[in-house]
Amino acid sequence: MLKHMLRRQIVEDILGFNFLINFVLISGTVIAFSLIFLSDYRGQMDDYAIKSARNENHLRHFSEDPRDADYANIQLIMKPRAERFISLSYEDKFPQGFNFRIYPYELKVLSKKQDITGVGSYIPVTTREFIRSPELFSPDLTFVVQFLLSFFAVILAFNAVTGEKEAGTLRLVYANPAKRSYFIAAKYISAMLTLVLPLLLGLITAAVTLGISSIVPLSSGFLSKLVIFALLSLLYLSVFVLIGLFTSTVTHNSKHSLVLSLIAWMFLVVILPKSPGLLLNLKHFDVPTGEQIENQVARASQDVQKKYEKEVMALRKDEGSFLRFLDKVVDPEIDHARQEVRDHYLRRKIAAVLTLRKVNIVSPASLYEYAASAVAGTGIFHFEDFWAQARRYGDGFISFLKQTSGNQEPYTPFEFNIEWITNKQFEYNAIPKFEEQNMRIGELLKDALPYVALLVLYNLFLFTLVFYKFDRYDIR
Amino acid sequence: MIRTIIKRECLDNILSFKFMACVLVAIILSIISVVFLTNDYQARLKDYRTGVTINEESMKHVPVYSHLALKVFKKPNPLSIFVTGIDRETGTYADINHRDIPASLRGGSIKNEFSHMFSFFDLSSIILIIFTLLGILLSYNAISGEKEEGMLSLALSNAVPRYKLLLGKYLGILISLVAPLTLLFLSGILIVVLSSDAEVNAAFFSSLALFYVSSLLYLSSIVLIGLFVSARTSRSFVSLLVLLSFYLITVFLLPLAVNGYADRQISLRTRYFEKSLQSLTDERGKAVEQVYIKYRAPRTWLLPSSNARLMKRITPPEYLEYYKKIYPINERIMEEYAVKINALREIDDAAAVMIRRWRNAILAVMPSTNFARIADLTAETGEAGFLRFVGRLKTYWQSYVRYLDEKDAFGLRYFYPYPEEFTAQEKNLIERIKEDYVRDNGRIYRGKYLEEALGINPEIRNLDLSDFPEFNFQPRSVSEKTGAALLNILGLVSYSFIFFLLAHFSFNRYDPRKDA
Repeated sequence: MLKHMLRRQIVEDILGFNFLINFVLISGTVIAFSLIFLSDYRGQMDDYAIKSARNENHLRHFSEDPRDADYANIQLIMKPRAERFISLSYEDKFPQGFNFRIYPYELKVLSKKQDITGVGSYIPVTTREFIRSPELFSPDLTFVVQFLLSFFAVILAFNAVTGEKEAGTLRLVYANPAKRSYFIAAKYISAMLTLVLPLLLGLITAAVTLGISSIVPLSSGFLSKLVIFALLSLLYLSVFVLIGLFTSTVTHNSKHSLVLSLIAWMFLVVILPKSPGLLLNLKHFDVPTGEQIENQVARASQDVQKKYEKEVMALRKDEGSFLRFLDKVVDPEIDHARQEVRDHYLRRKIAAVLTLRKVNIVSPASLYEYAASAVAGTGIFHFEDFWAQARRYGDGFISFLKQTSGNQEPYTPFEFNIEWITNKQFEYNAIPKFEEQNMRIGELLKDALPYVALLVLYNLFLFTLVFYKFDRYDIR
Repeated sequence: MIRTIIKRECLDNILSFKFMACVLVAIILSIISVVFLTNDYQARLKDYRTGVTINEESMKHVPVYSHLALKVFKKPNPLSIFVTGIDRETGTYADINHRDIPASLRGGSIKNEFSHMFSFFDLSSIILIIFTLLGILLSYNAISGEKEEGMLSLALSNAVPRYKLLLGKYLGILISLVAPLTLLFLSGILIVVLSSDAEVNAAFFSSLALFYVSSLLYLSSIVLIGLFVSARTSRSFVSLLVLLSFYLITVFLLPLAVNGYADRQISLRTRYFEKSLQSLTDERGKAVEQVYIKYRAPRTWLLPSSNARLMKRITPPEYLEYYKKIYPINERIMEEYAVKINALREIDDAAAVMIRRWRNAILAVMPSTNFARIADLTAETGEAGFLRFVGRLKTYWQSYVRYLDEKDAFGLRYFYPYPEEFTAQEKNLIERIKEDYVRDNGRIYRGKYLEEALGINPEIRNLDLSDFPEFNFQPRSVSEKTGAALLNILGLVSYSFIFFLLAHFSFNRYDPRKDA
């Protein structure tokens, strides 16, 4: 019985007008977005190449003349990744890496508005501003599913019950010995199957366009993420099919159920996910501006100087011990204090965003967005991981310097001693190089798990609701 | 007769669930967003004012031209409360310096870089997202729906010409959209005016009025498109599906794809400046180096000049002569290279202008993108306003450099007036250092005189900067704004006109009978 109902429903869905529109829109959007992604990717590759060349140049100079402070800094930057096409999660608007200064140790977020200063020229030259139009969404595959496909999911399901009732076929169906749950299950399964087609179409178009361009390397990791992403998308789309079915069971007129489900869609997909930004205005989430943070950094170092003022003044007569005291005690503490202020605010910024994300879990669209960004390994979790990698690299670099000088004392990056850098040259190849490591899929899935679990709960809740409501539906 | 039709239509609409739901959401969102953005605007205005005061104060105490650290601030735009644009992100001030022509603004980017994932709504996006949807929901079944219910034949059985019925429907729907829209505008203005600190003036209100009128034009074209589609289809479900696809494409997909592509193409294709900058700065470095090679520094004592500004007074006369000779040459080289570097930027800017022109042409096709562009041009919070500000900065830089040239600022760039204002104490110190230098054969401990030099505190006259060129940036007047947005406004008007005609013709041929 279920089979018959299913067959009938699928034929009806696929032959429908909206299926055609759906197909055209999805493939058009995916192609347009992949063009956007490809230009984005090429820009990133350019950037990455320029910065890597700069880093290599600096490290070579450093290996030849370790005491030349001009070259004792490099930029740790994110690798361009194909995963950004699955979910960009606004990563292009995050800081793209860190500036790592070897001595005095400093790990500072790269700001978008950094002046361009060529090596050896002490006069900053202002950059051109690359204006980005304000975007409500980012052009990636997540948007296609989160926004477009969920819309079609609602359109497919909204008149499942009301439409049949209006057409008078609902009573006919019941004239057969069919269980009510079969009817609704057939509707649900058929809608899902009808959605799988455009979803697959979208993903295949994406993979093919990226493959043809041959700019982006398609690794097996990327493809497996694409598969997980597809499964995740089904879980998400199921929520909207159920929402459509639900509105159809609570109303008696397909017009009402359409308006209701459209408004629900609008609210869940567009309005709720975007609104918590307004909470950033609250005192609790407020952070100082970049300049104010830099002022606090300066103040922190002044505080340390003030703390040691008397001792420094006392030592001033004897230049040798004066300099040693500065090197061993005051300067490390200053560097530590400065780094502490910067890290504190970075942590606070990330924490604020993560808290706001928790507010958002009422919306399945947000849950899906976060889960997709976790699976793709982009977004805020990626930034956190990158930050940890940058810190590890910094520690590793200092310990490398220490080992080469043969010093065995315990250290922290801030107790860096210029004596560890001897005047003799380093082997360039022996210097640790930074390259971003991708997060392992296991870790990514662990990050995604809470969101996926909530999506499953959403599904179960709506399932029971739909079946319960439909059991009591008046089919006349 | 037409009045009755309008009245009935309005009542029908206003009492419907979709109307109430959409309007409720729109009102709540707009109030929250106006309050948020007003607070944000006031915070930025406060920052602006303190910045300007600090700058003015520092301009009163400039003893030498090298201490001239001029900052030019961009005043936050009160219209950004309604049309946010990029006003909050593009920075707040520029350093004016003869060594570099400002091409972007510094500071004032969004406080929390990670908060971009919660981009939020302003009034213009509420109109685009919610009111467009509402307009579609009200108009999609205006004709096909009435037919399905059998009302159409009833209405037409009265002696009403069809065009009157259409006009009545159009006006009825438009009025039921305009009423909540006006409410949103009024409540927004009320919030802004009541918050004590906002700078609202006649220009603000007239720009807002222009924005209001253009949103009316936009909604009118949406309603007419809805009526047209409704008159072309016999089933209201099909008409709704077509209109919703239109909504998705024009409000979300097209701007996202076209703007996204254009932005990324600009940042990909206009990298000439960054790629060729290094060779130019190298060249500049060499040119400056040549000057140092040509004019050798005198061999005499010198206190560390970076330690304190007063050190510069305790300088041997030979050095002063030397500096007077090389600084004008050096700084002119810097100035020349600033112009050359900017020429590089302008090559990129020209390429970007071409891409933007294409983008604007494509976006002019749809009413929603036309409306977005008008909002951008009237509020001047977007790209257009920013580029105009940067252009003004560049012309200001020219007058700034001309001023420095006229005052012969480079020759005296680093040094306090010399020699007539040396105090006896200073003269004494200079003599003693000189004696030491000669006696110790050029090897003196520089720290030896440091504290004494720092202890001298002569009165130093500040530069007279009363005739300094002033920076002013006037926002466009309303007539200029209208002129700039004229094509887009005409686009919206012609949309309304064409779709009214189309709807009229389709409706004339419409078969009002219920399907069998």
